[in-house]
Amino acid sequence: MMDCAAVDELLPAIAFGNVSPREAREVEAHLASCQGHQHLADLQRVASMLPMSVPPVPPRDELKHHVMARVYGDLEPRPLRRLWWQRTWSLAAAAVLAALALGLGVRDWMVSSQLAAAPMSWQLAPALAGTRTTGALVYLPRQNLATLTLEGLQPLAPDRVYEVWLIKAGKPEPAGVFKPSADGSASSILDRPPSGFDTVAVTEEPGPQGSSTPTSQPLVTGSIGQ
Amino acid sequence: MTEGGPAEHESELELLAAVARERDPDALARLYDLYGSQAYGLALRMLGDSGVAEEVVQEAFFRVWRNAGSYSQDRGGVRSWFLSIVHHQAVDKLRRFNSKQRLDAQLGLAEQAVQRPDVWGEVAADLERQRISQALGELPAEQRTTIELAYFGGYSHSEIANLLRIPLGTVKGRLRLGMDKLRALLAEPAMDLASE
Repeated sequence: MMDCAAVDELLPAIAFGNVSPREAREVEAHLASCQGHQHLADLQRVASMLPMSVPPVPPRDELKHHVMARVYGDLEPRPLRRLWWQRTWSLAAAAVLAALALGLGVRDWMVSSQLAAAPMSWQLAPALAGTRTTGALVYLPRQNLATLTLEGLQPLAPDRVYEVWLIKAGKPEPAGVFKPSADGSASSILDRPPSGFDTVAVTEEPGPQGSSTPTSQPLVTGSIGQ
Repeated sequence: MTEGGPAEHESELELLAAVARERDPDALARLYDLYGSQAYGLALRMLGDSGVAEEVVQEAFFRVWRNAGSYSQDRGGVRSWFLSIVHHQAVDKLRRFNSKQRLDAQLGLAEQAVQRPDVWGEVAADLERQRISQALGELPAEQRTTIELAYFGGYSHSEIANLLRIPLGTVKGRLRLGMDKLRALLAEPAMDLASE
């Protein structure tokens, strides 16, 4: 158990969040039973001000795209199939209600429109033996924006990139290139919306611009058939 | 930056609440517009590598997206809370650096200091930044360096002792004296912290 002097010595490091887990546990245990370290809160307040001494530096515009791609990819998925059911139900209901009151039919059309604007997502699964890559493609109709998020990607050589393909009836169209983060994750906004395509796939290609047609086997794919 | 008055702070709290309760991506995008440059500046200063700094900023915003509901006003303003997340992520990255990468990051900081010798005392556009920079600038150089290595470099006491070739007790003493002096210099409540 640490004594008061040992805890006092560590207070600046605690305020910086810069102590080992073991030290943090011991200090926490001490503080829970000792009222003699009131100025820790003051030190934490000072520490919280230090980042504001650093001048802001505008990041590349692409960083916001990456942040938002990851966020959109994390939105609660709403499968397209459900939308079709909802729409079908809505149209049938509208037909019945229209016989009773035109106004209710209009309201139902508005509900249907809102559902059509809801995000859609599709899961991607490994397509190569030994690959652990998984992910999701999310499409936001209102923004006409499609984002792909992946995890479990292998690191790439400096002259290689991953390339996204949207495929219709076996014909692939390039939809963007990206590089993974150090932790094997990646997020990328597609160059085009997935409407009209039946499959999404990712291959490894020569960088920095990728290929016009795939030159390797897909490592991850997903059905986006409508 | 517009972190001066209660209206702005209320707006930032509202944006965070919209992220927490409604999972509103537009609210997070607005928070990015408000904090992105500050977050990137902090991460770049600590890591000295634009690519890794971008990873840290991206991860920090994603954590806000996932954990906005964990924010409590007891822990300071929204901006302070967010920048503490960036700091924590950057320290985590620094600890994964090998010793050469870490040294390079610190050399990058040293070069910045050489190119901009008045970095602590420069007249900043942001009044709060100016106030904190001036307070840091009033510290004796050895205390400022120790705080710099501990906070922005993420070094432990013993690592700082090895880097500066001084006894461990001296490191602890400089940190304690430096932070106590900063506490006194910044005793007047900061504008943003006071109004949040």
